Amino acid sequence: MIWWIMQIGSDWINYILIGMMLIFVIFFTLTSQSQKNKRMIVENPPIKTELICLGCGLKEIRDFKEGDYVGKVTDEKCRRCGNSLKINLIYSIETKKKRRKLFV
Amino acid sequence: MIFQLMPTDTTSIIIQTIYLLLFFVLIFFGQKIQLQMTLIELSNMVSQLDRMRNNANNETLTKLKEESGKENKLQEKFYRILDSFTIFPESMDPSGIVKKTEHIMDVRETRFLNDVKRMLANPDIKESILKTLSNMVEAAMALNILYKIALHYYLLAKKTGNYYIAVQLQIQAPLIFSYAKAYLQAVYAFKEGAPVGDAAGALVANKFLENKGETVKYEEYTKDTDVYKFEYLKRRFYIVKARGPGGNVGKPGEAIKKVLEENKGEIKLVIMIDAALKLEGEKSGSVAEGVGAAIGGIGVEKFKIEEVVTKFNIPLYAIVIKMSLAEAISIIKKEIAEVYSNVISRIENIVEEETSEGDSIIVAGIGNTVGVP
Repeated sequence: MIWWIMQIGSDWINYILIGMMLIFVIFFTLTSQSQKNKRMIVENPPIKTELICLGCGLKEIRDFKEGDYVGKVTDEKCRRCGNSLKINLIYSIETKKKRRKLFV
Repeated sequence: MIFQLMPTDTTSIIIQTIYLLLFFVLIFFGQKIQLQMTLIELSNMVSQLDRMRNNANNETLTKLKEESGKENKLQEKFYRILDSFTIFPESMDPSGIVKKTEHIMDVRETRFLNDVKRMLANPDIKESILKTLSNMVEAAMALNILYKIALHYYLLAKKTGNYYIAVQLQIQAPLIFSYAKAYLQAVYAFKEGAPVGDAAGALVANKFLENKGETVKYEEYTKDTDVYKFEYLKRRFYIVKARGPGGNVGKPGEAIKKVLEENKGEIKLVIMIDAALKLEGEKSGSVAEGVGAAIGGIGVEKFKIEEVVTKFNIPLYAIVIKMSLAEAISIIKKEIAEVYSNVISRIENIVEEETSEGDSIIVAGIGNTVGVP
């Protein structure tokens, strides 16, 4: 290694050092920028409504509709026994894909 | 002798000169360069916050227009509300400050709700929708204030050329962004009218009420707060929660005080359930038990509860559901919503361990009741 450095001379070492510094600066700037961009993204995961049959206790999950609230007895009927369905829970779920971006 | 160290060929001389120049430039102008770099970063941050704020304002305005009777001057009135403020009472003489704070907060809430009502000019609007809309406006207001504070420090650093003011804002940037994101998510949550993470306590109270047979409901027992009474486990339960399904926190402290005063000697235990901020590393939706008043806010309700349980010498237990700030004000996550059965079994355990048959117990579900009746 020392022999190789002596062979190529101090000018080349300077060029290599400057080149390495430039590569480092470009890499650092790009990665930090992409991290900042990630920080700015606000996502709203999908909202689900969990319904429970008042007759047989069957649980069904569908997308949230405006006007839904916990404990509301909906007009929807159970597909097993035909009884009314009550909203058991409302929650958002984490999905890795197909997230709706609200703000970038 | 020293000249032997100097380079002799042209390229080396140029490179050495550049190094020397850089050295002196960094010594004399290093902080100024750093200040400029920091200001560029802060400028980006402030413009991002501005976009988030505009986004929140536009979403709120669109929703308000949907619910409004007539559209005239709605935008103007909205921006007037956005700039409104509250001055807290002087605390140099702290005697009576709770009463004064409560009064100021009551005035603020009534004025705010009336302002939103007047802005909408829709006499047929449901009370629950009105409350949820006012919550939405409040979230937009919080984002607006956050932007104004960040802009203030950015411009102050730019004006004075003070690197340390800029650095203070730069250090706070990740936290400011996490709060801004949380408030923007809150705007979307209230727009949908779905339960938020903070509703966890109210959700537990709602679920605890289910299938309990004969239940007496005292509507508006205190302002915006309902109380339910039923027999279970051979004991009498009083459930205290804010009135839903509109966005509402009610006055649970006042309600607990009233129940205790009306049932002197009968109540043997008070259990409070609320959402609590988790530490980084703690799991969202984890449940913890403790003692004391589990209630957030400005402190008025907490003070009332502590005072009344001390007066009657009643044990005060707390069960909290852990979550982050963003989770508390955005739509409730599945893992947090599903924890209610765990909390109910903990309530039943505490009640069976700490009270006897025939005793009366107050269970208070604290939190915003958006999406939870």
